[in-house]
Amino acid sequence: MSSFGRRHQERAAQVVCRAALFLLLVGVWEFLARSGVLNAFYSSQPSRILLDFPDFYISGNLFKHTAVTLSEALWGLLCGTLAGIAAAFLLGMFDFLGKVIEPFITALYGIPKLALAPIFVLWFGLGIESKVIMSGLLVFFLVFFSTYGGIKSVDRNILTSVRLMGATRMQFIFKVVLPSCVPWILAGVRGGLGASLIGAIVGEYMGASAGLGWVISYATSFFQVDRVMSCIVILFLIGIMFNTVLKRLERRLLRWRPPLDCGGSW
Amino acid sequence: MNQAVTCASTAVSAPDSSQFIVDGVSYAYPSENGMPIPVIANVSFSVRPCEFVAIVGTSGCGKSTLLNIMAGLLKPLSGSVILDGRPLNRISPRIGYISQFDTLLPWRTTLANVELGMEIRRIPAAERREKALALIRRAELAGFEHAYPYQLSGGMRKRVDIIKVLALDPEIIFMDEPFASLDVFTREMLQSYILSLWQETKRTVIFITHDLTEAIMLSDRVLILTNRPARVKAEHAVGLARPRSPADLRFDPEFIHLHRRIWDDLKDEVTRQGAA
Repeated sequence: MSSFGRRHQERAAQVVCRAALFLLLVGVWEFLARSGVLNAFYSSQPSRILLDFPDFYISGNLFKHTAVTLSEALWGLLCGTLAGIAAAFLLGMFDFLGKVIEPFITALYGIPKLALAPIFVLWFGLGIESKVIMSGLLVFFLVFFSTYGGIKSVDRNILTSVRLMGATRMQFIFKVVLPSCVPWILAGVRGGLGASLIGAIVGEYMGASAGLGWVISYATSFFQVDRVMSCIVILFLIGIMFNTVLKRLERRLLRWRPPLDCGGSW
Repeated sequence: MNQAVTCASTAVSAPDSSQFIVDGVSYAYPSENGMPIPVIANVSFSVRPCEFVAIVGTSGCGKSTLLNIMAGLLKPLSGSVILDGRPLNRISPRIGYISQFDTLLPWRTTLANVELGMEIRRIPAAERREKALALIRRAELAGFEHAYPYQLSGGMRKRVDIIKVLALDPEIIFMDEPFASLDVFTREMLQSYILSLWQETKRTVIFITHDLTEAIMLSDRVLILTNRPARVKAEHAVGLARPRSPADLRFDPEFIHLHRRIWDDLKDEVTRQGAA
């Protein structure tokens, strides 16, 4: 009991300290703004952000714009992840194809993809499509490289042993390669979470009629810093939510791994 | 268990019929400067049904390469491998292969790992489950059906590795230094396990090892390989009574005598390897 209890206690202490630190930082911000060290017109302040939320909500804009950005990011995440996994498997399983095409993908990866945002708006319009494509593209590269690395590092001894059992190519892929890539895919998706939001927001900056990115750039042009900060708080919450969901998923999918957090500090 | 019956009857009806023949096999690896490095030089031997043959050689002598050729993973440069009268050109479902590595799928539980081969052969789920559970029980792994490999000890993992192969009912089982990475006590436990397993369900076993003691304890016949390039240097019949117990055998005079005799053959190879 004692070891379990201690770990429980330690966890509780972590949560309390984390919350305290957060409140402290927010408090310092509030204090600096009230005492005039910061100009609240530019820096905004926690209490004003809190007061902005009811306005934002009552106007009906809060959910509307959040939903737009969220669906852009989620579609981008979904499409980018699926395309990344599919491409990695195609190039990973057909060695010749991999050798021919992989350098192209690496070269494309070198392009700063955010630089493509304006042209995407030109090509795919002001609607949700251009943002989904932007966001999906960012996710694609992260998931592709991670998965491709995973395919290349499947345990040789396991491959031989399964081959000796007479596995077909499809059995190989679905019974050995795919499951052994799961940790790698998840690592790609972890990076993709942030990237999908970046893609959506930057896409909205370039040209949109809705979404949190659009609200941010619109509000900034009217010096409504409180509204900008509200949007950032929402993005912050979305980020936390994404990570929580992924952590749950990881815990489920990777239960076969020895737990890493059994050691403590060293 | 069916296997045991067919196996025994063939052995009786034709005592000198060979189930598995390695005939003049040679192999060389390509090297940097273009001159191939010979690894195996004209190795020939044959194995009778239900025989337990140990192949002993120093490390790096080409044992594993030979086994890979015998399993159909590698093509010999010359010579051939014959299984039941037919040349073996590729992987055969009648051969089971237990390697020195941990080849359990880490994301599968004990039960799912044992079922893997049967899944690959598309055996119906109910039959698969039943057979896997029976094997797990007999390997004294009951209670660990749903454990992941990381939750098992080294010896337990190896037992799962072994029954995973047994689940496919191979007629011949190859073991490539299966206990190389285990500690002495676990090794001895697994040797007993292999002995009792073989006693129960007689199958042909070809066991590769660099451990002479292990070879004598387990086998009916020991083949000694030379250093690289490997040739068969000598062959010794092991007439020790069965069933055997590794713990007692160690102090058996007959065992000690045999060990000394075979060691004389192997000694030269070990010292020569040290000099090289």
